[in-house]
Amino acid sequence: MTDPLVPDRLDLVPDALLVSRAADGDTAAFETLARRYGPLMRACARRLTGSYADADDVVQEALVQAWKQLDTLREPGAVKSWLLRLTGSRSIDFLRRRRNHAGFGDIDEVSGKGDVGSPEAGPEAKAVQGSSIESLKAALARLPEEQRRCWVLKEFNGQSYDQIAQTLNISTASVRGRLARARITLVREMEEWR
Amino acid sequence: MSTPVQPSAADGLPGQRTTSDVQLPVDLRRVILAVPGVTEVFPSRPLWQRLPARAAALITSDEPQDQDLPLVEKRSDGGPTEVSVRIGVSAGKSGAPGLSGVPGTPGTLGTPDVARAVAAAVRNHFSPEQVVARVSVVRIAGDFLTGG
Amino acid sequence: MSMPNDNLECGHTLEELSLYLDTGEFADPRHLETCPDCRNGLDSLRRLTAAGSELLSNDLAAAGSGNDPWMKNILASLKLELRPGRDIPLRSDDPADRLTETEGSVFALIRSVADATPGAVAGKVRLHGDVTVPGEPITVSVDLAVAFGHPFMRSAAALRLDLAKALARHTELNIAGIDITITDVIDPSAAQAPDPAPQEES
Repeated sequence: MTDPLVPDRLDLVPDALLVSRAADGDTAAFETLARRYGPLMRACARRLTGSYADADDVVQEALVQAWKQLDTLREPGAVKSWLLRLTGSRSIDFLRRRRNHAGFGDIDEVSGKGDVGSPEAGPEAKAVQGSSIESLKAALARLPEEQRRCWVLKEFNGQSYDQIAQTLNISTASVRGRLARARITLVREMEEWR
Repeated sequence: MSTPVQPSAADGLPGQRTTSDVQLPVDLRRVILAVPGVTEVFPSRPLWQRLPARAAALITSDEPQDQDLPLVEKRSDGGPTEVSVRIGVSAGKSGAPGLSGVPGTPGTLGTPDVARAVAAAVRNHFSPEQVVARVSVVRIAGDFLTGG
Repeated sequence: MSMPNDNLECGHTLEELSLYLDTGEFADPRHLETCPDCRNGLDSLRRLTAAGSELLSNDLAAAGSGNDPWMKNILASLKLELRPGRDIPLRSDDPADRLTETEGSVFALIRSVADATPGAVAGKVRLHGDVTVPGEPITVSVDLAVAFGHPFMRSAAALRLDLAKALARHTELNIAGIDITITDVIDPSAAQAPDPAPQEES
């Protein structure tokens, strides 16, 4: 084959064209989009839900919603941020369902199940590791859940204040406040370990 | 208009809506798949599809999935039984074994011909009972797309 | 110590600075240039943002590639509704029968024919005209992405012919015209970059 676009022709195609095809009913184009942005969706969902198993459920839900609503996407080239927005919404829905199901508290969410960081680890222990990432992880895990969600939706999912407000069903002013408090706490904790 | 034989089974398996003198849709599915050019029988409703990886498994699977069974409906006004079928058709090589595989090349069975052949097969299957065939082609798949 | 507090000595707050960082809005922009407290605060917030990006990169790398088993599992269990579009009538041998093909199936046919053209990938496809009425003149439009440097123009005429043949064989539409529009030029060597996705040995 001398065709430069074969064999993985769709992998080389820009987002907007894949969106057009998928909106026309082409599942192969949609699958290409899913493979292209699935890892990012998974990373964001994992930060919000605390585990890959839950993240994968969320990604699947977000993809089903994306397929259904593709024709509502005004700017086909903006599909990446749109997918991340859907991932954020489905993650928050998932956390709400889990809370209702669990009946009390969100212990799992706060401690973040292992890889999100251990709240018990003291500043000294973390400082040894030296990395700002490690201290950020630990500080994130200690953040109140509602602040953490705001921060992740902003910094990971790339959502605007208005979009976060919609996702969390709170006012834009509350988003501003929670995000600022999250950042202040994170900055303070990270500076302590410098 | 037509209504299912057993309206209460609207959420159940379409294939279970049969009358005593109507063959099981699982047999009908086999008959339809035997028509040259037919690659898939899709569920009557709701319409859905798997992503390509899974769709391939559906085609090659010998065991029909429950939802893939054709819909057999009886007209509410006592008219003839209506049989609704949604199919996938090959545009390329596998459409007509032994014939040229290039799309549009004489010898490849055209989709309208396949649809008419399916309608005939449905009528023949229920003969001597008179039925009305509703055939919808929901997928025309080209094998020439990726070359396998 | 320049450890940030909620309220800076200059009277401004970290919340204001946080907002400024996202929106560029600040009541007294010139103050930011001269106030050491605010500059320290902004530096701290920017370091946090940088650490956040780094964490995201780490998480993204840890999440794996789109070709990994977890993604395959997700894709395999997705159920996607068909997009049938309009019903296009087909002639039947028996007048009581009703035979149709969906607009979506014709889109797929057109895409697959266009995709078979070397150096080209189909984009949006449309059938203009009332396809539900037999014999109505229908114009087909196809968007196309072509590979950079590939001599596509020679193929355009051939593609139009292939499409006409395929439509004649697989539909009973009265095709009045086929419009091909090149909407994208793809550089295959450059396009490889965004998703290298090498399979890690596990």
